[in-house]
Amino acid sequence: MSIEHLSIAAADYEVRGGLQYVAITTFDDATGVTFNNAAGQHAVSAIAGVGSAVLFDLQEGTGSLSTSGSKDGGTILFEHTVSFYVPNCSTAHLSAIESLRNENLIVWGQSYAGKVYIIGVSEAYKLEDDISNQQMFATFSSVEGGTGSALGDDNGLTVTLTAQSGELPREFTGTFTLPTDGAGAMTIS
Amino acid sequence: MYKSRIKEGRAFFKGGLKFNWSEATQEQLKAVYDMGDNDYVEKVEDAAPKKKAEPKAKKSKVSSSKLADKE
Repeated sequence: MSIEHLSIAAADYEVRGGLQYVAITTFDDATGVTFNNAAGQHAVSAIAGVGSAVLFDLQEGTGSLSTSGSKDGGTILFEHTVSFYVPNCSTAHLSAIESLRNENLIVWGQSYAGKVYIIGVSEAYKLEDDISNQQMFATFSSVEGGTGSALGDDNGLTVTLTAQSGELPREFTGTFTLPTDGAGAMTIS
Repeated sequence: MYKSRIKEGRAFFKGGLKFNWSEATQEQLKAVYDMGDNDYVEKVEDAAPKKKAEPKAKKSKVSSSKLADKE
């Protein structure tokens, strides 16, 4: 494969940053994954068995997906990090975060630019009979925050989820439908 | 007959089923359909084969005038 021409448009420099939504489910929920590696594509185009997920609406400026890769000898490996802030240490929020602890996860992040990215599933280096690399799922790696001390302090938690993989994060081009009334279930397929 | 709505990409399913959507066989599509936890494949009823029209019975070419002559 050769990259002969990759055009950059002026609009590429004006894509909005930040995550708007984060959806999380357990890795075992997925029963089938389709990877799209066609020319110009690096995507997961469908994921079966998930149906719904825990959805966090994010305040502007509090959610991010970052990735870093480093090569030590053999091959380059990437570490992807999704970080977001959950305001208000309420029982509902604490319960949702608590349920992520010690679970193997798949994480979707929808950016303010409208693109959805997925981490926790990857095709590179997966085993032959594996659907989406069961050794490179995402995990709940840290949480930080609390009530603060002063009246003006933030009351909430910053959650960090990480996944290692042998490839850059893929765009998710399958069905990712958000609840329209804020209370309904979301749909992922 | 089974028809997929996904046209490209390589799929991996639990149980070891894996294939390219662009080259999927009917057996593979049926297996995905039977899993039932997705809407990737739809079952399309086969159209009933058209019945061939039976050839019409040949009409006698004997004209009425000739019949009249025989009489």
